[in-house]
Amino acid sequence: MPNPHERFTALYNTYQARVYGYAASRAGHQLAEEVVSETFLVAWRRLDSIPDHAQLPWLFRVARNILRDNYRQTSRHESLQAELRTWTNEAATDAGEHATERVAALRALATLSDADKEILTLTTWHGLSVVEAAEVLGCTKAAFFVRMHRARRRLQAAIHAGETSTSPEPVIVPGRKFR
Amino acid sequence: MSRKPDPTHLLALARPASLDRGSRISADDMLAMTTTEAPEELTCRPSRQRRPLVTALRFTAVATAVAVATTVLVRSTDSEVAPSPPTLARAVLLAAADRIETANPATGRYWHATGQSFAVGAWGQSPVGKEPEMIRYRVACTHETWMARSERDASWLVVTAQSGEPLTRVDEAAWRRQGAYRLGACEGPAVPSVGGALPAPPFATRLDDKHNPEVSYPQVGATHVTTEEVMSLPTDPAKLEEVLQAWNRRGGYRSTEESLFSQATTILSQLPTTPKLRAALYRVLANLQSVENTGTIKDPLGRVGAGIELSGSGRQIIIDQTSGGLLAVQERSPDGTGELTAWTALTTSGWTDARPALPKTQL
Repeated sequence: MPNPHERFTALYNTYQARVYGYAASRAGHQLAEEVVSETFLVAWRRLDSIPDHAQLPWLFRVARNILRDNYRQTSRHESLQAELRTWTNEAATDAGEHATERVAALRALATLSDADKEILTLTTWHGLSVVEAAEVLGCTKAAFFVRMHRARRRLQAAIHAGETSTSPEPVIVPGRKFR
Repeated sequence: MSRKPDPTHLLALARPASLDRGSRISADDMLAMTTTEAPEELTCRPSRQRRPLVTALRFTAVATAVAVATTVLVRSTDSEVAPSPPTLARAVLLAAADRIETANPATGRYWHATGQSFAVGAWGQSPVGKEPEMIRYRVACTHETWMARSERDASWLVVTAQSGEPLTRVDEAAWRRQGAYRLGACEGPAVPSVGGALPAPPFATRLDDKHNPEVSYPQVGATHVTTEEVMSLPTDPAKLEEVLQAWNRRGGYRSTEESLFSQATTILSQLPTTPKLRAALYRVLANLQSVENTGTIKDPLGRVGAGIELSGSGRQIIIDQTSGGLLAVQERSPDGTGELTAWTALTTSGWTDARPALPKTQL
């Protein structure tokens, strides 16, 4: 069996970019670097308790806890909103295929709650299966389906609101409260 | 006629390429940060000896000379000016502390608590490979906890009554199509939860399964602790807060007001305590900036008490202003509707030398 240093190096090299992407999608690039460091410090301490068959969900879950517990909700939210504006501007100036749709989706995402943003991006941006995503969120597969279904509906509504709005800024969907 | 594209498909198209950028810290740099620590063996309890995480992060910033230093500095010099503590909530909590402190300090073999809980949840059953049709349900549960003071004695959760039903007619129709199985779980806040395929009540389940540390108790926040550690918590509020923060650091987490609120309510509602410790926990809560007095309200069992809420979290405790005792812990939906989604009401709690009277069915 490889020694702990080798195991850690393999784990880090395999997953650090995925954890970085997850953290950036939750709190922007500004905080992502630090979250990756904190996540892998926890991973080192708990090297023996990381399940072989579910290393990525385990790491995402640690990163999620770190984001929740170590950073103020407001700073996380502001950092991500700033990042979403950057991503939207990049998509708008990109002449590539589906530029309009990408701008609409990012604008709509910016109007959703933190919880909705998370559940939608776990599967669409980070390639997690339903079982893995439910594991990250600490809920049952069944509860995940319910939450995903509702988040999709809100995303659809926000895209629609953006299509019909004359305002260049995202339309805030009412009735959502950040935890 | 064109169909509207699936919103998640559009979102997938919009995935920013920069998400794949990855960290600028190499595996070797990460290992350099960890060399002062050996990885932890998988045990029931994590080691108490830990290097504070912030130290490790400062090391990261220096060792790698990347932009990490900026964020570390921002975190360690919090420039936000905190508003004055809300006097009313603080006054209510300090008064409760003064009242409960004078209660009988005698302890016993078991901390025995009884209560009722309620939660809204969702579940679905389907053949493998098919997405289940979801059933939203409400479950109610009556429980007893027997927390042994000594680790030589077993600790138990006893479920004495339990019921569950689909939330709406639509849910009920789906539930009947799936075979109208028994809906049951204890899922209230601040109580050890059980769910899945449960037997008919009454039944008992062990709370101190050392072979299954992820589900065993006591558990405060994200950290598994021992009853002895809970019993020896300091009764000076400042020192108590330090220990609770240290418990958070055991898991690699930083303390926030939300985590302190959660830790304090968990200990108050389910773990063995002395009156002096309960008073100190109220005093820790009184020092939080985000606690709000929601006024005199009724708990889920109709008992009147003072409502104290952690602002913006949907979490609330209700305190009996006569005795200072905790009546209930409740959670409201974070989606803005304010709907009560889960609660646990404590009906009795205290020390006893009696042994638990266990039902025949034991999980």
